[in-house]
Amino acid sequence: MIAGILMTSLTFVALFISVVAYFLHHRRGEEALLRLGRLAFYTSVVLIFAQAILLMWGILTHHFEWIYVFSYSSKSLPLYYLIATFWAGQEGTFLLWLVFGAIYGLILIRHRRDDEALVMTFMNLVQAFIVMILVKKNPFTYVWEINPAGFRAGISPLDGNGLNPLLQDPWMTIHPPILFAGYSSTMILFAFAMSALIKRNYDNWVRPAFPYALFAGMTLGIGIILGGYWAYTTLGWGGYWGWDPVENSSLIPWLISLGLIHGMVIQRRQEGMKRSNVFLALSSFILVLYGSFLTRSGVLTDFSVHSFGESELNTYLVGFVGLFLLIAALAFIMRTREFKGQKIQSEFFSRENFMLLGILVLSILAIFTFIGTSSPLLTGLFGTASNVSINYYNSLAGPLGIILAAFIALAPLMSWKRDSRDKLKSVIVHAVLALLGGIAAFFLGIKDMIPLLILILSVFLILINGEIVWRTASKGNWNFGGYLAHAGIGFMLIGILTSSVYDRSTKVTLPLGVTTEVMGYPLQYNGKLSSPDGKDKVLIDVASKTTYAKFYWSDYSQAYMVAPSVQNMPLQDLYISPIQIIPANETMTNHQTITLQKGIPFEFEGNRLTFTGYEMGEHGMNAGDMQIAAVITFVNPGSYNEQIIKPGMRMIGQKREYIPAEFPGNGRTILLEGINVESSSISLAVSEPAGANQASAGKELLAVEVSVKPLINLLWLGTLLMFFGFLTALTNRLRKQPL
Amino acid sequence: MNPKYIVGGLIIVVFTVWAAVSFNSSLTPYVSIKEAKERGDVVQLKGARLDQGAFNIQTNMFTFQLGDEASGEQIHVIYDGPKPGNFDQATHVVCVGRYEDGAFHATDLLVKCPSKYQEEGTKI
Repeated sequence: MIAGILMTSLTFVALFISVVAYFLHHRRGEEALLRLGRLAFYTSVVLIFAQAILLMWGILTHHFEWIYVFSYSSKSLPLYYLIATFWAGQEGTFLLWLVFGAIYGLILIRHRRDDEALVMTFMNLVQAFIVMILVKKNPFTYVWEINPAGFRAGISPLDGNGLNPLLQDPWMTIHPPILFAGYSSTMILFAFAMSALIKRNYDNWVRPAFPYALFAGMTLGIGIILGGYWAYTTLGWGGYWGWDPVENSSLIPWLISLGLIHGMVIQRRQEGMKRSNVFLALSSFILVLYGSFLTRSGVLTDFSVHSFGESELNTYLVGFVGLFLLIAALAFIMRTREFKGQKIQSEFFSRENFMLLGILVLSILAIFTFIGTSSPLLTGLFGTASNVSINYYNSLAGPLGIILAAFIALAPLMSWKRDSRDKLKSVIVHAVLALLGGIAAFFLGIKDMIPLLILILSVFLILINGEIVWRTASKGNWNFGGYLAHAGIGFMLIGILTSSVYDRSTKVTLPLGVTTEVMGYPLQYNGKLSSPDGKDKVLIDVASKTTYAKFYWSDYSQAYMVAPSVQNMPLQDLYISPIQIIPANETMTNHQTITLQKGIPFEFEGNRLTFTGYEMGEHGMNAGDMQIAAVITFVNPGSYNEQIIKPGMRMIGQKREYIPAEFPGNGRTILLEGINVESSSISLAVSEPAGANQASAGKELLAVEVSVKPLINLLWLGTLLMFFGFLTALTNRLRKQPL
Repeated sequence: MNPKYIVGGLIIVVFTVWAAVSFNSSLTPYVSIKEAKERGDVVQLKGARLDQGAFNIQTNMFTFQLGDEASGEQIHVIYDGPKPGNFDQATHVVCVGRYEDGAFHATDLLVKCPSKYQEEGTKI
């Protein structure tokens, strides 16, 4: 669509003009340049919003002639997933970044007078480079321009490719926007730090940038957890965090942003940490870029389950990361000798010292996660590309978690600067309670050293920080955001520990209609439920309560899609993830086959079976499917009672499914194996009477992985507390000190 | 000397050493089938899927044949778990595990499918 593409190009021009004008205004101070810079920026804002609205409109009204709409949506999608289509692909996420960037820019211009020029120079520089990606790969391009052989020019395709079924999840409608709000907010930190470096003023940027750092920490954190929650409830592999490159690439900048927040607090108190804070601010942004390079460029397709595919943007993205790394590194190195910070000469047992050590631990975790994530690239330099396994991350995260929990517990007790060892006495009760909690946990089964220590320290830190929150709030003071967030982290640590280190899981096969006891829960597989949208479900009764798990074939992904049934209980989750449906005929291990002629009685083990005819069923059928059952009268000479059994089969597309019947009196299974129309005969498979697998022989089986996740609710609770902590800190700060 | 430098330095040194050790021990190199047979330690193996495989309900194991396209070498893979849902559509399979007693015992399977999601852009 020419208007769309034109708008993208004009956005680039506008941003380019804005960068030059703002920068020249900084150098020369001419008012006309400032006005031009703003005008160009406002123009870019209008253009960006117009493109976003245009794309959203195109998606909602099915403009399949646009490559983006064609690639990621289809007519069958409901409204909320159509909206989610906006950020289903690369171009859309970049546009989303631009929208957030435009909003941040408007806020910055409104509130910054003195450093507007330089901050906006760098904001717009980043924005311009993102737009350049869209110029290269534009969502409004006509499909026939990309693929002239496949599409006739001027004719809109009737339907689109559709949205990846994995992304068709309610959480996917809010997870990406929040995460991208966080990603793009690191651009503000970068811009502030760069302007500090250029102006050689390393003090003034901290105050205005602090709320943005809080915002970045909050949105990245929430975005990451939402992503984990989505993985947990949708992907069905049983967890919420897998140290996957995609996950790591948002974790790393988050850890750095947390370090930066604390560093800024120290700098404002103590005049120290000047160089580190600039460095952390620059890194948070560079690491976001690096992360999106890793996950989008296709470098890691062999190592990640859910990276985006190979893309022609590879070289461009490498150049993009490289350029900004170069800009940041050069500016930092050129100025590095000029930082004249106060050396922090505090006692060891002082608040700032424990905060410093905490920042150190956060940075170490970030650095080693970074190294692990980049391992295919790093090892590729020296030989065959290798990837580290999850063990690497877990073995580091455990000990670092212990130290971090200890610092979070102790730092709030300490006073600034002076030695506050005496304060330790005030938390003896807390320590005793935490130890008692640890002893209880030991007898409940947490018997490993590292988890036990993390648990005790987490309880300790929750008690200490919680008490501070309580005392501050009861005075009507809102100055408790940080402590609330820390208490939240404590709960999260415990929840992560219990649900991922002490989860129990087992693989079982559930025969259709038979109750099996698994980990104390009676489970029963009750068959499939076809859904009009094609996302068929399997019914699993948990203690007679019907639950659903998704299990269906996706043409889009050419794979079976699985979504678990998650039963949330106060103390634990029961997580049932379907693996496979094993059809009835494959489970008939020992059986004999008998053939019945229509109307002719057949003697079988003393019973008389007569095949009388067929019954066609239409129950819950889709067009093209058919169901047929053989009607057999069954007479046992002992009872002279006539019974009718109806083994049948169902044809769904090309697939055949068996509807087993039960052998009257002894529970053996009868399957209708074959039908011969010409000789009007049928063949039946009858399972052997006694066998180890009698309960499941001839029955359709659902193979599932059943796991129990103890106390996972603490993780979600901790996340909420952390979020409210951030929110309180942010609003409290904005109330006292406007942007 | 301020004890904070000692503590900080100690944290850095201990974790760097610890990270280096766990980095090396958890590194799973990508190797060819031939190499995997020779090495016997935990590796990642990528190869072409040669058959549909078979799942044994009793042992809960899934077995299949993996082949090297370049050398034509084959390996028998035993995976402790069910057949992955999209296995039959896969062209290539990445297996993580080790070679032992004439077969590759995989703890992880990564199925590489020609999916539409990855074909966006030029190849519609």
